[in-house]
Amino acid sequence: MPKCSPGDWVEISAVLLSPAERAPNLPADTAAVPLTMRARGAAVEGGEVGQEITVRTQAGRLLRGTLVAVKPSFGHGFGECVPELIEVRRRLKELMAGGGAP
Amino acid sequence: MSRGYASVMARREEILRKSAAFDYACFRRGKLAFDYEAMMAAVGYSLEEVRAIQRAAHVGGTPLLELNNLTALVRRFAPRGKGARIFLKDEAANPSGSFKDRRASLSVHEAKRRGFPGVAAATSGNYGAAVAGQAAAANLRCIVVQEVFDSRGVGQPEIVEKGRKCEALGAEVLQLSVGPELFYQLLCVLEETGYFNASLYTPLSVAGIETLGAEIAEETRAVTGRGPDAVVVTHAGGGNVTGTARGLRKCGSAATRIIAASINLEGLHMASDGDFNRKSCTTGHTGFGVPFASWPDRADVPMNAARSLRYMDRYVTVAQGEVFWATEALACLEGLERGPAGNTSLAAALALAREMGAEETIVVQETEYTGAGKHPTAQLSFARARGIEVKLGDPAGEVPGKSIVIPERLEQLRVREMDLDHLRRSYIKNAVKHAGTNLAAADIDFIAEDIRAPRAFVEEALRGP
Repeated sequence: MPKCSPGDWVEISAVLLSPAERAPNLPADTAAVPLTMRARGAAVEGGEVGQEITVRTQAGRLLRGTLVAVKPSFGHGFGECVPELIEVRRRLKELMAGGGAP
Repeated sequence: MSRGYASVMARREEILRKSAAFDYACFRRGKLAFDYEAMMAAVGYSLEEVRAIQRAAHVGGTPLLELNNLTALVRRFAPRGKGARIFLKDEAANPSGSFKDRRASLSVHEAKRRGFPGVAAATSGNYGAAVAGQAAAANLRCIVVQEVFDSRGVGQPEIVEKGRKCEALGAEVLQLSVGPELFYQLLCVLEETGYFNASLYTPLSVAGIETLGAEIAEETRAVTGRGPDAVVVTHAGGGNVTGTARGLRKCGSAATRIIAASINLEGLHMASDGDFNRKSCTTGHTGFGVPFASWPDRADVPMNAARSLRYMDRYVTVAQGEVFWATEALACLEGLERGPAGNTSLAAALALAREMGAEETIVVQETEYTGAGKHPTAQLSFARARGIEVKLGDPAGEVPGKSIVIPERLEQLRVREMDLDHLRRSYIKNAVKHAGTNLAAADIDFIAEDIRAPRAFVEEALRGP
């Protein structure tokens, strides 16, 4: 499992409320799962993914949780090609040029 | 102190009071009634003072852009003499990329003035980045609590991007799984840190938006010689509509029609783990818009300053597909690449302009920045991967959570009218739930004022069918 050293930028996760501890009147699908949290910070001690560690956050607080990633990246991007949008663009430009159907 | 849900919620009045730096109790006039205008006046800053605070924070004074190509396009296919001039207030020009900077600048200014060590906000939206950015410039610490991912750990790309931005601006970001307990977690953070609650619903937060309405009034007058005929405002929690309308009125545009616009998400449950990633917008939709219009006092403050039914002249909805179409049109016909959520009002305005006279003006009140996660391709790919059908067609056939239908033709761009009287009756039902049927005169007067209806309307609704 990946390991971290003190000072490494890491991501931790923690359970905030178990299903039994959650707010009342939730939809069934939400009520069945725990309320979980993820946060990033600098590891205070070394550890291995899956172990409990402490991090210092950017607000200077200490948070405890399970190490889930070392030097975590961002996975969001611009997604896959959406041909429908390209077609919309083509039609709009055609309309502006005086052609095409409204 | 116990961190249990019920235990923390039982302490909420005390926690919110300590983190608010605002005495609400003195405005109460009845079970429901309170002096709203006095509360707003207690902000303690005039419009000019707010402008000065915002200027010092590099906020506001954003460009008002006339959309020449989109105006021409609408006119070509509108009845003769129809097709209002379409203007866009480019709020993406604010430091963190949205009008939320206007709200955050005042909250952070107040937190600093009062000596709080930091600010906290519960938001999955652009407001988090706005608070983080303003806090950074003011040398205050910042914690943003967001609802980001479902129980499978899948994050909505738009919210992941907002989390990234908050982190880039120096904030601590707590990312939660789906659930209304976001509020509970904010309370825990406030209790533990003693930070200021940079709530979206304080008089300060709403006053921050008044400058946006004021600028629209002044800038439209400078270009056309008169105030705007209509301003379209994206509606969720109600602060946007409230602040913009108040600002317009303070600058002499009392006749301007305030048109609230939301993306229609009917059928999706906002607290459902399964429904969470079946929508392609995280705010500006009916999931917030309808509940907050029909009962504003459901927020993290004792008296919500955002009271949209006081100000809306119309409330319309658009389909997700229409917003993506409008985003594409703004980019390829006006050269402005902006975020889809910020284009909710643009989509509505393109349909509404067709009904208005060519000599009239309609202003789209905001834009937001775009990028990874927020971009239409990111959102539509994500939707497709979740099994949602994405196609060209008539957006009237869009089913939220099942399909996203992008218009094939300009004529298919329409708004759906929300029945304001129905919303007013919902409000009255909610009032009865909270305070019973035997309401005092002061409470009935307050309701009438809050929903902008004659007293007789309220009395009739209270009498029941």
